[in-house]
Amino acid sequence: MSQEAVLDIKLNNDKVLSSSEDKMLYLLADLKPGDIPGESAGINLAVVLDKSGSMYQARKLEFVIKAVEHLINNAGPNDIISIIFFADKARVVVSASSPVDKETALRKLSNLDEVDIGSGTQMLRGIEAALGELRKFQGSGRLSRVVLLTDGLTLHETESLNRCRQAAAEGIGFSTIGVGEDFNEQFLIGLADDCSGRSHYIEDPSKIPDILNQEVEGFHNAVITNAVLEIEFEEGVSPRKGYKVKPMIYHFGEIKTTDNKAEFKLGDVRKDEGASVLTELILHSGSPSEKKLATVRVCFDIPSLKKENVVVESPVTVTYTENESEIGCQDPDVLAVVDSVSIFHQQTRALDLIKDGQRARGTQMLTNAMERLAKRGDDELAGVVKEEIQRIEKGLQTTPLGTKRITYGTRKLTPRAK
Amino acid sequence: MNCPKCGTENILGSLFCEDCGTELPFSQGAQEPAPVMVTLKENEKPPAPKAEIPGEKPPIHKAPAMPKPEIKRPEARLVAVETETVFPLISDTNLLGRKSLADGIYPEVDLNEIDPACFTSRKHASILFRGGKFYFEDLGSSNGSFINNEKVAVGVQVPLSGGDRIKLGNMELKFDMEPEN
Repeated sequence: MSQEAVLDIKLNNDKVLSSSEDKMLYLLADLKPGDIPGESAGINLAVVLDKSGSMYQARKLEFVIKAVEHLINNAGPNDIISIIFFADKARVVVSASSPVDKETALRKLSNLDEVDIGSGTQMLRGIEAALGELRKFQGSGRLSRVVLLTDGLTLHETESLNRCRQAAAEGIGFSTIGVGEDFNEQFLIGLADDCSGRSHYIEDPSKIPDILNQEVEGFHNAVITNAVLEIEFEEGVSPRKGYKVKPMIYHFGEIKTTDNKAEFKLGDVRKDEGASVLTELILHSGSPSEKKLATVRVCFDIPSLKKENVVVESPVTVTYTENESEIGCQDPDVLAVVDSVSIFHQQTRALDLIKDGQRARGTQMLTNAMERLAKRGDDELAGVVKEEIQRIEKGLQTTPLGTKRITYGTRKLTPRAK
Repeated sequence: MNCPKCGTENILGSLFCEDCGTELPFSQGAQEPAPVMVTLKENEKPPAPKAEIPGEKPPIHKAPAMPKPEIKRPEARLVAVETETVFPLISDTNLLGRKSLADGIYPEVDLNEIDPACFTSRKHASILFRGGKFYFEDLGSSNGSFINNEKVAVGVQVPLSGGDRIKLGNMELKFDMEPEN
């Protein structure tokens, strides 16, 4: 067993009424990194930035340059940073080198106006260029990561997604940043979710330096990488749904089990943050006794210790009882997580229904979500939802801005004790 | 378990409706809507009106939907047997449960203080004043309700008399009512 991480397992109720009826339990698995010694091997980072015509509006490009200048100035001795701009073409403005040649990099950034690559949005070309730069130092022990930033719709979304997925299988993670209201949030969120990264939304371009630097700082704090959570189910137990709930809520989609085992990719786990997964379990029947339901194990790497395939595991047990009065309070931590996930699920379905033309039903669900957000004290987000509901009730379409605020906002809902 | 708001059937133990997201009362089922059963205490004689004949279902009382003439509600209250906390019954419909700001549940009889272990449900039961009488109704609580040690079936309105003992979860309350004139 590893001391480098602690796996905490909780059920919403550790006692279950024995009966022949199927019933559901919620399993929360929380992985917390321990005090992991060792020096960071540094990062191998490629930053892929949109330089299309729209990036010149609202000072977006100006803030982008400010952000990457900060990255260059603060690069550590083990870090490698390449900067790629894309529009109709892609151009590697700062190429990968060890250590970072800060003076040359800053000079090239100051001459960005001389870089003529058109005004379109062809992200795939930027991705290809970034992978070329990363490969120069891949396998050097550094964490290879890409950050993609755009403010618009890119051509070749499917090809871009497939290319990133291929690279993710080789251990390259992708995070995405969408700026303004014209980008496709489903594409950027899906890409990051599939490729061990995070997706961020920036409404105000002046926040670009903060968000980009936070994300890169997060790469430095990724003490655990390639984490995969596996649940091995005992007979009579099956999974229903699974959600990543920390750091952001993400629905894993249909759970496929092989040999009664299901896998959930967690990717990087950052120091002081951890990662959590909520799984809905279906219990098919049970007679009075204590019973093991499953074994949860997490397999991961620790780059700073050069350790691979470290495993922590924990059994999941319940007590079946015939006495209903023995079933006491439910676990408040699990309840709070289920509450957040349920709101996320509700708004996701509501927006999908509205998009599919089922406006009345979608609006009703969105109204429910709004009321629950308000009750939790998430007033700002509830207000955004309310504005969109009012538009729909007037027969208008939802706004791209409102949709993005709701989509990104509910992914970041933090559990509140009930 | 059907959602009280949209009617969607949800698997037992679900905390929120799969379809509309409404919070569902926690239930693991298995409690068939059983007839009201009488379990007598040791050496206790059965009260005549409530005695049952073995094998026969006791009568299920339903409160009249609306009182025709306006009837003055007598003063009534619940007293927690262990802590002697008094809960006046101030309304024609009194929710017995645990307050939750997050869920907008504001029971007239808030059991949070006297039930720190949460054996009672957030919406456990109601005491209703209908047609000049008080009735007790279990709203589908997880741990059930008992009147004078009789299990109360969910959704059945059982008439109350002064001095009745009401057990919710693992806590006992006494129903007090001013004498009828």
